[in-house]
Amino acid sequence: MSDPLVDTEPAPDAPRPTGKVVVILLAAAVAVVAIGLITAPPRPEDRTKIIAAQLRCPVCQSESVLDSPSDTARQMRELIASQVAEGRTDQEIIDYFVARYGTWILLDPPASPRTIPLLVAPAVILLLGLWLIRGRLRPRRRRPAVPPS
Amino acid sequence: MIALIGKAGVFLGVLASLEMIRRGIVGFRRPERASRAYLGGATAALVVGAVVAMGALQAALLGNDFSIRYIAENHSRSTPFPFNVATAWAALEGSIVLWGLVLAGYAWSVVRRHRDGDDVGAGATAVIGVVALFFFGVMATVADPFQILDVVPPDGPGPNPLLQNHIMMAIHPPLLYLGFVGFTVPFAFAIASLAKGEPGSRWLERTRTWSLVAWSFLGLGIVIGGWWSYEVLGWGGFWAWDPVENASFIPWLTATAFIHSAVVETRRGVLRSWNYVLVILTFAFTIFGTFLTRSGVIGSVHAFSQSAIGPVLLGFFAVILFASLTLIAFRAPVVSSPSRLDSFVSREGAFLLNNLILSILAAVVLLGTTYPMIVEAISGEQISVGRPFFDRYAIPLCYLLLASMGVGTVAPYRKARPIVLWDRIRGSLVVAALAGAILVVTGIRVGHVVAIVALAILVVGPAAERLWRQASAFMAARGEGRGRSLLRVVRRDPRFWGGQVAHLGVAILAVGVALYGNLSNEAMIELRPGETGSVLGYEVTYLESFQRPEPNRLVTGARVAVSRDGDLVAVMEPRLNQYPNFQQAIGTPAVNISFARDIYMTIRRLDPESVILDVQTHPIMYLVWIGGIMMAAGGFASFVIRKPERDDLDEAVRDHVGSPG
Amino acid sequence: MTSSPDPISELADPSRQSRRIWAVVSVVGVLLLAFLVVLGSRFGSDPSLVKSPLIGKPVPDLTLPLLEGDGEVSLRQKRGTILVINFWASWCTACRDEHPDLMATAAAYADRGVEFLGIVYQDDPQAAIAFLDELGRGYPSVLDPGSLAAIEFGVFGVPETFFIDADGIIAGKITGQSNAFILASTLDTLLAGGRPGSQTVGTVQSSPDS
Repeated sequence: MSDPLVDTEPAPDAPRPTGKVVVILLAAAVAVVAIGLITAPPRPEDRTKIIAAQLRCPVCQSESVLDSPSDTARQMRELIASQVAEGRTDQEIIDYFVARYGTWILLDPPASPRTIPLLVAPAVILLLGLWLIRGRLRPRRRRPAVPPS
Repeated sequence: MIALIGKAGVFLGVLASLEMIRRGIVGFRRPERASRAYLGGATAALVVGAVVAMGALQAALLGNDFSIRYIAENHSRSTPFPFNVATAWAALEGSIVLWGLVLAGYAWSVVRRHRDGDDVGAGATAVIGVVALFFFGVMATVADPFQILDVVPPDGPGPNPLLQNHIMMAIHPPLLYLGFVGFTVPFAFAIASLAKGEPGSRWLERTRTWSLVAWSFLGLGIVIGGWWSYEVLGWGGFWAWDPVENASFIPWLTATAFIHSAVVETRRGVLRSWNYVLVILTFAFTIFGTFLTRSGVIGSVHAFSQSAIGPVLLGFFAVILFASLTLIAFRAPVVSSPSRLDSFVSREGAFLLNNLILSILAAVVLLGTTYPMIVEAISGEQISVGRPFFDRYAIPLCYLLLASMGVGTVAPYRKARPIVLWDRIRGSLVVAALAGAILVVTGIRVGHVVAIVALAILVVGPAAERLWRQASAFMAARGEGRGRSLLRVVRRDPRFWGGQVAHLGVAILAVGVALYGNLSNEAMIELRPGETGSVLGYEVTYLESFQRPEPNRLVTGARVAVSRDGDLVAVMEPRLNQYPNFQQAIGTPAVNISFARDIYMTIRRLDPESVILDVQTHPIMYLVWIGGIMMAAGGFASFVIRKPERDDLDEAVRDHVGSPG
Repeated sequence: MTSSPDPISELADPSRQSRRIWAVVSVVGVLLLAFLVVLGSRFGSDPSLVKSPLIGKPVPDLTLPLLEGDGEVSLRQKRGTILVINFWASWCTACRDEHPDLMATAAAYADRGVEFLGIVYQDDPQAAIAFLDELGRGYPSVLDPGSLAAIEFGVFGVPETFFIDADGIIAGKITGQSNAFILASTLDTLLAGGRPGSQTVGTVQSSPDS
């Protein structure tokens, strides 16, 4: 089903030349964005929220301690806040909860021999996918099936 | 009485599906017997059985028949319309009845299009019959909605309060099921095609519309679910990577991949075995999702209560996959395509990249959801896999997906020369960069927001440019107005342009999500009655508390006035709903929507002396809902818009535009 | 536009392809089987029950106010005695069912150096007092402001019962509704110097409406 309008306009053998204005405009805009982002002031981080987001609520088990509206979560947030105010590090506070609830309370599973398959699997699947795709593409150098006589 | 009618309907469904299987196999083996009347007879019986079963369930609900166990456990006299109707699918047994009804509807739509002598169509009817037999069989045995109680209670507890809080919860399951169940059709045709050893891609082209219908409904159902979560649950979010949410997301991901790779097979004849695998996986994952939700192996706020249906669903899932895999293996010679693609840098390559990204994401979501179970089964250790894990992969993959959508949509087929690609996307690149610059200059210097906005423009721009150029070609060739020409372009290729509408939806959704995740704010404030406080740039005044008895609940709330610079913005009423049979009150947030932002307010604590309010602001929140709905709308548009008959206008346009390349 | 296969670059070997497909299908089949076995083994287990890592750790150093009357109780002060701590709430149905057994066991072991203490979990004090009015008092209960004790003990819901040995180490835990038999056998193990560990008897209720 050949459709000239869908496939070809403008005809690929005659693309329009890129104007200098376009290049300058593009470069300038990208520069503004880059400078603006690099020099952006660091956003104040609420450590309580960051820590609470990594812990699983024991009551509303599909939500983090940050999101859960339950009383337990609220009190855990208050506890985290008071520990942050005391000067404990993020890791110390997280370890405090892990010591009492087990690794279950971490929403991001820690890297351990048991979680290695989980962490490695996405990369494995990516490689597998790329290999399968390669198999679908025409080989670069043509190997003649029939040797010329 | 009603229960007997209902059971009769279920029983008829079982018999009808057996007959569908029998007649389907007969018609498959001997195409001369595969007439529409022959297959339609059994299918009609299935429809009757399904309608009778659902009808009986509704009659029992609306008639308050508490002698039926399902009604006694899930319904209450005080449940208002339409939630009493929706109680039919609020709990496990009823939801299977709904599944059966939707399946019967799809089976009917298949047989309506059946042409006499079509053996693959007959085979597909047989496969649908197998699936129907499973579900009606479950209804007749393990999950019987019409069990009769010896002692009839006068009233029942009613559906879970969370299911009565918002109308969207009533339509969310039917939408999801229209999606899940719809994939039975392409699956059935794929199996019939494999069983026959049919070469070519006929089954794919025949089922295109059903795949798009199912995909659109599933996406819409998921978006509505997220919208409900935002409006009702009170945490201000719409996606929690909850196991049941993930269970509905996985088949949507594979279905999206399937829709795209189907185009590659239709145009270039490659990926045949992959498409068979994808459609089988998509259907299998709809069953798997149903299993996860109902089996009790995963804890979730969505999960139905544990029942014996778990092992049965798992068994069905196993049977489907093993049987399909075996069939593919046996038909391997027919299934493998000899053709190859010319280059990865091409439209086909973009589709392949899309499939790769979506497959990785589906695998990550599946792994993350099931990994805690696997670890606990093997070692006894208990771990959790939650948002941080899923976001880590979803976010970069979405970036990649958006980029490939932008560039891939206008990439030429076969082989895309870089100069051609550049020509087609450079305009959008400039606009995207300028938009980024504007954002940065106006003070939004968050990397994710700038990047997503730029990518969204890149997704939409090249296609919009193409639409404009093609319309201009028509205008020049025909002398018609801009509007008519635009319509003409769209109608010439509804699938492409429907897809572009869906892509637009994705772009809008991505921007909405980026804004939500990066520019939202939250603060808590405690106020005594009459007191005014300042929070997130607004002045909030706690006017008064109120109480309002309703037929099925007691509503307590706080009336809060929100102002900015002295001007009243809104009066908001966050509430707590107390249902008689549930001790803890369910909080309902108050949401004030405007063009610029949502104000989201919930009550953390309400007592006579004071109220503690949680206030959130979410910029341009409605982009998320509009984007999601537009995705589904694009899917619908691609099969609703009809292609016109070719006329000699196309000749004139072709001459005008130039020769094909 | 469908392409006609180019004869030169065609991988014209259907049997090799079909062998490959068989290989892939077999691998997938085996993985699938393993996956299904794992999932199947999870039937019947409650995903919301989590094991406690506190066994073997010292009891938290907390001082909590009495539910009734003035005064406080310190958890660490009980060195030399065996302490049974029971988290409960008035809205918890299993707590109602186990309460008589707790009282009976407390009375039976009182002269063997065993003390019982109830900790009220996320409840209205008046409702808690009404619960005791109705079901009886056999030992003191304390309130837990801010749920600090619940968090310190890693409590997921009620009822949960902890056993502290004479050295102040958490030696045992019962998750779910206990009964006289399991309480007695756990205490006997403790009195003999053993460590009972973690036992799951039933589910816990984490909020009033679950």
